[in-house]
Amino acid sequence: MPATQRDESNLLDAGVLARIRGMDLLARTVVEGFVLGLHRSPFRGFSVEFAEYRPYVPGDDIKHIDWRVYARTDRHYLKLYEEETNLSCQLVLDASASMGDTPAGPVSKLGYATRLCACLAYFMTRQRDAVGLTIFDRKVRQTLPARLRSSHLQRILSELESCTAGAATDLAAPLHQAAEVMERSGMIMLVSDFLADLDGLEIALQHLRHVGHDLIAFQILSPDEREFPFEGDVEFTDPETGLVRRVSGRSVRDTYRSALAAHQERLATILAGARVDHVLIGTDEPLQVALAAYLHRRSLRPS
Amino acid sequence: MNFLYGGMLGWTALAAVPIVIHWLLRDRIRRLTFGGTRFLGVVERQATARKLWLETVLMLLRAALVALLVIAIARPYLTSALGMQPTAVLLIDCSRSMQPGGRFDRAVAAARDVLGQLPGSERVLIGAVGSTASPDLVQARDAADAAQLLGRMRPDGGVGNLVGALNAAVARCGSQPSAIHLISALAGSGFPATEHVVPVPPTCRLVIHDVGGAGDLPPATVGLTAELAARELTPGAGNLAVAVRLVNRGAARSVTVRIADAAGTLDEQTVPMTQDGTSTLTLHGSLMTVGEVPLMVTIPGAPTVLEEDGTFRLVARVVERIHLAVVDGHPASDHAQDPAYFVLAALAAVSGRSYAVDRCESIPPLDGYQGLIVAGPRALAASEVQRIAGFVASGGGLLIILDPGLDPQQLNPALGVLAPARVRGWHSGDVTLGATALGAERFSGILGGQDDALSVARFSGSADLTDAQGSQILLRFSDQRPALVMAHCGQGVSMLLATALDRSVGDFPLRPLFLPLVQELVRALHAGSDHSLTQVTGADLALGPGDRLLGPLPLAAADGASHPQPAGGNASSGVDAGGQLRAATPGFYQLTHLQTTTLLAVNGDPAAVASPSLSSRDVEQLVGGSAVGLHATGHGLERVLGADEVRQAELRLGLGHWCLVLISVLLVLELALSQSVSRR
Repeated sequence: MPATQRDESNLLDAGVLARIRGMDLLARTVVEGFVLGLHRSPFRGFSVEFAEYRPYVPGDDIKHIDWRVYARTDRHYLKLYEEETNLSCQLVLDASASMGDTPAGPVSKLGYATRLCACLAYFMTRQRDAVGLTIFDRKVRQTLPARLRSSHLQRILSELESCTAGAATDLAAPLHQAAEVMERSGMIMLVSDFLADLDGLEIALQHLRHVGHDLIAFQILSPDEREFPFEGDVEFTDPETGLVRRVSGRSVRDTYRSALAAHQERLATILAGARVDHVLIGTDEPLQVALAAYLHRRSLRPS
Repeated sequence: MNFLYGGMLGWTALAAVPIVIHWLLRDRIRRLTFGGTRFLGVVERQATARKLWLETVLMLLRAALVALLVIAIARPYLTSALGMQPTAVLLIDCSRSMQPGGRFDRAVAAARDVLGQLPGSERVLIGAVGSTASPDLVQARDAADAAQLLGRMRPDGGVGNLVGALNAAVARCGSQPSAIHLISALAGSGFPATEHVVPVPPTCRLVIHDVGGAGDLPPATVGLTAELAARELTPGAGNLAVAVRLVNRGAARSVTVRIADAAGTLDEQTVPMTQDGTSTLTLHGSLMTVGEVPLMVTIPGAPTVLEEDGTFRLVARVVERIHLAVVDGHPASDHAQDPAYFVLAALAAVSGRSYAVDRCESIPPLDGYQGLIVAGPRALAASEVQRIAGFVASGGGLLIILDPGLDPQQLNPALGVLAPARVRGWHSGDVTLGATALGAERFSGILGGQDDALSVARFSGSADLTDAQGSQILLRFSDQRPALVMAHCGQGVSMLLATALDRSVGDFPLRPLFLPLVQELVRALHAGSDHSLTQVTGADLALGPGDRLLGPLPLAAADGASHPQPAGGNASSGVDAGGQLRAATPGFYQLTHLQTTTLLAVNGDPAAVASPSLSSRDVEQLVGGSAVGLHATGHGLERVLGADEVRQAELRLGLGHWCLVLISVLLVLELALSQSVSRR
């Protein structure tokens, strides 16, 4: 169940977040609020740090039965531990020029994406997962390998805070590079608007999957890009290619939506083929949506 | 194409409103950096250009709609059709009213101006407006011929029949596109007073050029008419009374009016004048010689509109005795109850000089009588009524004096059309007499300028009269009911007195005012209609075989320097006649009819005096209630179509239907285009 439907009172909308300056504070606010909204932590597993007992039910692995308790109580209990993993997560952030445009809304796509990455990084660190950051546009501009240290988190947040939009997008090459950088299998979270040429993306994703990474693709689109609400005559300029189109908003709306739907369908096909979770988020939606998606994917990953 | 309301075309400037609105509300191009630009196809550039084009077309369409709406409201209609040659009709008034002040010369000049402005392809018809019902319209071959036709025109001195001329012009033009230019002097033309409607078709434009008006009159011009109080007089002191009506056509503050006969001035009075107002006065005199007496009323020192010589002519007929018959409806032994006793007594007081009175108990043979008085009638036989009717129609006077014994059921059917009013019944109650404005003028000789002088006449009862419309009410009771009603019947008069002149209803017969009032009543009896003695210039005279009309006669008053005789005669004077003749020149004429010679006074048209200082606005008001409307233009008055004619114009030649069709088509196009544009 998405977080947005779980407890709306704990969610901060994009407008509020846009007014929070520091990435640390922002991530803390979002994540703490998100965690408080969870009634039961789903991250109970079988690790080294004891957490609690629970009654045995058929199907449970009998190796986790605490025989000492059985001896005392003549009942079967499983011994549960706090999960303590070293899952390695890499945030791959698209900082191309198309992410920087702000036709409408409180924040740009890049601003929303950096906040999203900050929240994810904070949340993963809190969950004791190692987290790294890759920023790219046409090529990889910055790479921070995954680490599980608070100082590393601060560096990630600092990089995110200073991130600006760059040149045109090339999705394939940075992903190939990320696959090479991550030494062991982990989780890669690709944050982009995917408004770029999708050729080569499928191969890059297959490359990542081949290495053994789990992937989540967060697609950030502004409401204008999704709805195309423009009226009257508008001259649009593509921030990456410089392409100029002078159109009447109402007359091209259907055409635009059809073209966008075709693009999205192709993207979904590519992502589905690579077994990549596709999470479409609008810049007007709460950040918790992305956290919920991460948790969902994390829960499916075998311990 | 022409427009019924051409002035509306100025509103076509409203067509700029859609253009301005389009300019103000046009889409301004926004420039955005947009990541989804790649999804906008290149074909949309053409769509944008197409939208701009559609918006421009829509703007022009809306402007055309507004302009077309204004044009439709202006009511366009066709003025020329295939095979129809435009016609211009020039009607130049040649009547007598065009003579003074160079009006006719100005009319000819105006006609030349009109001719000079006409295109060469237009057919030109020229007609002279005279007294004929349908003047000849002569087609001019070319401009020189038209000029010659104008040069040959002369005022004929008759009464202009403008309506007849207009009707003739309209009939000649038919449904062809045309313009009728009526060139006349509105002041005195008689045109505004007409009740006729000229059915000018919508294809025809009527322009009235007013070449007269008060502007061409001398500053002290005064209109003048006069009327004898009695047609026949008996010799005696103060027997002549002439009612004079003055119309101030200029700025005169007071005028002196003089009446004179061949022997000299009879009376002279000075009367104050109001600006553009009317004044009346009565001139008196004494005519002692039996016979026809030519009289001339003049205003020394003031030009008159009516006559060039400033004279109004009258003919008074002085007879030795006036024969009256007094019929006693119900004789009574008691004089106080006898309805005719006091009337006879009053007439007897003066009968020695002027009246020969016969007392009768029934209607006598009326030959030789000038007046008949019926006092206290009960019922009249049909034969008696028929004789009385013939008597009145031939110039006799009838006075019916009612009394309390009247029976309306018998009296009304018996009197029939003879009585100027119908009798409803007898009303008991004290009332006094009072003179109306008309009565005050008529009885000014006995009232002495005091309208309430008759209030001494008290009556305990009176008759209720009704249906007095069309009659003249000379006296009223104090409760405003009619007391003395008079009506003209043929050449005579019929009067009805709604109370008795005996002691049964009051003591008025004993009052000093009784005798002069009876005398005035009798004088009014034989005043009759003096048409047989006076005529209007240009009016047709019905003459029989052997009749002769000679004149104008060289008659002048003793002080003739102030009113010279008009020069020359006319074609109809002095000619044996057997049909219609006209006396075109004012003056005294001698009419010989069946061995009898009478004197005839011919004066100008009284209508010229009756209509003071007409202006374009006056004409509008006078004819505004009819189907013909006029409005002032730069050079005259131009006709505006009435509502009925507008409908006819629309039905026949109007383009309003086509405008509506076009507007509907444009509306559909506008809706479709606006939908198309709004979808883009």
